[in-house]
Amino acid sequence: MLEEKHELSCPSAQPDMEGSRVFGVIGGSVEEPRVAYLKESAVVDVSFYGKLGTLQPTHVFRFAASCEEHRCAHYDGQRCTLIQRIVEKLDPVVDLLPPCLVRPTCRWFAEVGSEACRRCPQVITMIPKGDDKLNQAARMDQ
Amino acid sequence: MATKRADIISAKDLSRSIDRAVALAAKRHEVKAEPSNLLINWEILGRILREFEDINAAFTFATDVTKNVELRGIRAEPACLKIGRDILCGFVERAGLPKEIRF
Repeated sequence: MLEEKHELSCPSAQPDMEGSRVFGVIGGSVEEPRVAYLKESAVVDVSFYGKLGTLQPTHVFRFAASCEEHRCAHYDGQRCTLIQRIVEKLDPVVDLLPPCLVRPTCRWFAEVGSEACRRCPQVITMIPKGDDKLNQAARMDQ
Repeated sequence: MATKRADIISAKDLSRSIDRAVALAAKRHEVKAEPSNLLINWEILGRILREFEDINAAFTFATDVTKNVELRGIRAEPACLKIGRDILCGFVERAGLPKEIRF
């Protein structure tokens, strides 16, 4: 069981984390970002980074990578507190689970199941400044 | 009531989806981006800074380094590049300044 935990992925990772890969592109609108999920055949490699200009990769893509557990501020020793806050503070935005390349190893799905997947499309890793619900869920001071 | 579904991107739509995502992100983060892609070939001669987080402070450091280099007769411009958590900091020789290749 412990070994399985070590194989879990973080679905809100940074591009420089171990095992990082793009699994979504942030579309939607300026006000309402929504992740579009990549099919297995759609592979984003570094050649696409040339399109970003001065934007950070996390402005445009969602990354998954190996969960860093104790090295991550959101990990409380047993679980990811970020997905707990997301489920508490954000409403679901889809009715059906998106076809997601990360789900088989996703820590969020492993911990809270489909409640994570139904909220996941509104999550962006690099959040613009503001005090909307996504910012409130990302903050750890509550 | 209609069922709400997430969008899915196939390989065929990938490039167009990324272009749209870049345009949206530029508005969302108030960043101005050139419409065309850019390939920059360059070389920074310098070091990786692991203790700096502020790229402006790193650039000040690069400027000081460049002044010392110029005292040795090398014509150079200070340069910094942030990749992930590291900042590459040093100088670019003027003869090798970035060349823009638009595509």
